[in-house]
Amino acid sequence: MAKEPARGSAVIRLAISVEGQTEETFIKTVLADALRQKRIFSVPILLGRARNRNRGGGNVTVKELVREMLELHRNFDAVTCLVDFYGFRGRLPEESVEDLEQRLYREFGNAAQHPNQIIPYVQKYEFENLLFSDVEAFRVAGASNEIIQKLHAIRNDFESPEDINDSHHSAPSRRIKSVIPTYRKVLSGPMVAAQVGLNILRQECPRFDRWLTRLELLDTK
Amino acid sequence: MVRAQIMTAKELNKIKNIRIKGFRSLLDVEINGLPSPVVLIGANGSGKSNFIKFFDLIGWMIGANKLGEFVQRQGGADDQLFGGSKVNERISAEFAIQTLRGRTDYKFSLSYAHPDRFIFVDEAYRPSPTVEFQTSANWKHLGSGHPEARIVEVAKGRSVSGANRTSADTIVTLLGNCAVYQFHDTSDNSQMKKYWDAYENTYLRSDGGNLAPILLRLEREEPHRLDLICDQIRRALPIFDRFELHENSGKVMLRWKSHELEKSIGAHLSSDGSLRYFALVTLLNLPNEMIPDVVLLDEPELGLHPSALALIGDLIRARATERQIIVATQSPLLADIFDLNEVFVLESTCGQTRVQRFSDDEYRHWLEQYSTGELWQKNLLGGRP
Repeated sequence: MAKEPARGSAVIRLAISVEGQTEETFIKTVLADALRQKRIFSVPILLGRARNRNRGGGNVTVKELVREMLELHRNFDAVTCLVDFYGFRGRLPEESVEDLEQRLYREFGNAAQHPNQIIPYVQKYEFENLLFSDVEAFRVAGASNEIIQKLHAIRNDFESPEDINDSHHSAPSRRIKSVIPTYRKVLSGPMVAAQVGLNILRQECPRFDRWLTRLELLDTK
Repeated sequence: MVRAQIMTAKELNKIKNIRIKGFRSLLDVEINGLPSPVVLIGANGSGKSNFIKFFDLIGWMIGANKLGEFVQRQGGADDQLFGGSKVNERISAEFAIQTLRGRTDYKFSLSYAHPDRFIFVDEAYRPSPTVEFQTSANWKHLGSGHPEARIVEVAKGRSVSGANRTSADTIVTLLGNCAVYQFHDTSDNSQMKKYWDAYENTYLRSDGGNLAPILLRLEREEPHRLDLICDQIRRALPIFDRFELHENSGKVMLRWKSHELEKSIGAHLSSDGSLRYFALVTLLNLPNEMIPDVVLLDEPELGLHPSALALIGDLIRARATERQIIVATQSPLLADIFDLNEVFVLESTCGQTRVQRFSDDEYRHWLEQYSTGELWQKNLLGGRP
């Protein structure tokens, strides 16, 4: 757990806009310590729609996220977000993860006074992609050897965990649920991620790693 | 809570339909196609507790074969009847149990008798190879005038064989293993704060009192499961490190260690919410042979932080794939975790409980904007005073 920075120390206070409790816990238990070593004090902030995130995703709009992050920018030194690509409502046809991120950058470029301290990040394709960085970690969610083998088979079909996706219907979370019917995101997601560990997550997921590197380069001004 | 011995080979049996007549505020309540989990919401006094209490009655009547004792403990027969015995003399109920082979039905009718007790005026069961709602199989009646459920004897005895015996066994195993849990009592006199005999570890008691012997058993028999329980506790209680359970002259008491302090913390110094959270997480992580077939949770939200509640909600959902779980709640945040078609709204009109259900399809346009609990708070579902 991140401790409050010492009084008078030069730190960056970073708000991370998230969809719900899973990402909140993930940031507190997995990311916070690493960021703190770079003098970045991170605070996950739950989006207003946190209460209905159980409704099968698709509950964040670009407009709402931009508004929230601009508000946060008034209270924090820097702002980023950790939102699933599949969590966005109203994605444009054929819009890729990169396209969506660029769209967010453009929105902030037009609206913010210091847009270089607003770093939108869209998780490709959802939080569960990260968990495939080391499927052995699913043992903490009660996965048996047989289940681990099935998860290996899914993982081995793809170059990187971030590529796991054929369509919305074969999203990583659905694949996990089909193998582990008792998988529940809030309960097991952060525990599995913590078991994987940040080093492996960064090694296996290049987009995620680039995001964190970008955050670590935030400097005090 | 006394319960029948649990069969080692579990079947995926479920209560599919239920009809209760004449029990307290439940004058006539019928629910068909019971999902798992079931979430009961409603104003205070709408009948949620009576619905839960009815399963307590069933647990006593069939699991322990002690209907008489249950009735005495609950203030006598008159108090169990809708409007009292002058208005209504009978409690009756009918269950349809879905099994791998088909379905099994069980029904009984209790009549008020002197002095302030019940006798059976009907008790019957029928096996049926069909899972359809309509079944034409004949009821096997077990007579009348008896004070305790005869189905228990049928399941045990050699008087019947074949499908009938299996069917009676299914009824007794499933309905005998209904258990109501309410971990509200964390007062100074709470059972959770006392020394317990270490061998009292077969089942978790309905008040969570024997949590320490249960945890000690898990530590010895299933350490990985205990690790998982501790991980889940840490999620809501970051200072928690591990339980410290030491058997001393055959006794054990609930103690735990924090990350920060050398000295361990006893149950008597733990906050109410922490103790309740320990008990809930443990219950929902018990191995299959230790968790009842039908679990009823009465207001599990009491004293829990909203994020702890979200974890409990997820645990309930995860476990409800294997066990039938029925939750009564006053918490819109807990309701959020569930689908609208798992929610049952209880309303009281003229002292009589009515149950209403909603379909996800019918409310799809609302669910795009609002959570299940928010729909309840908007009064779109009723269930408000």
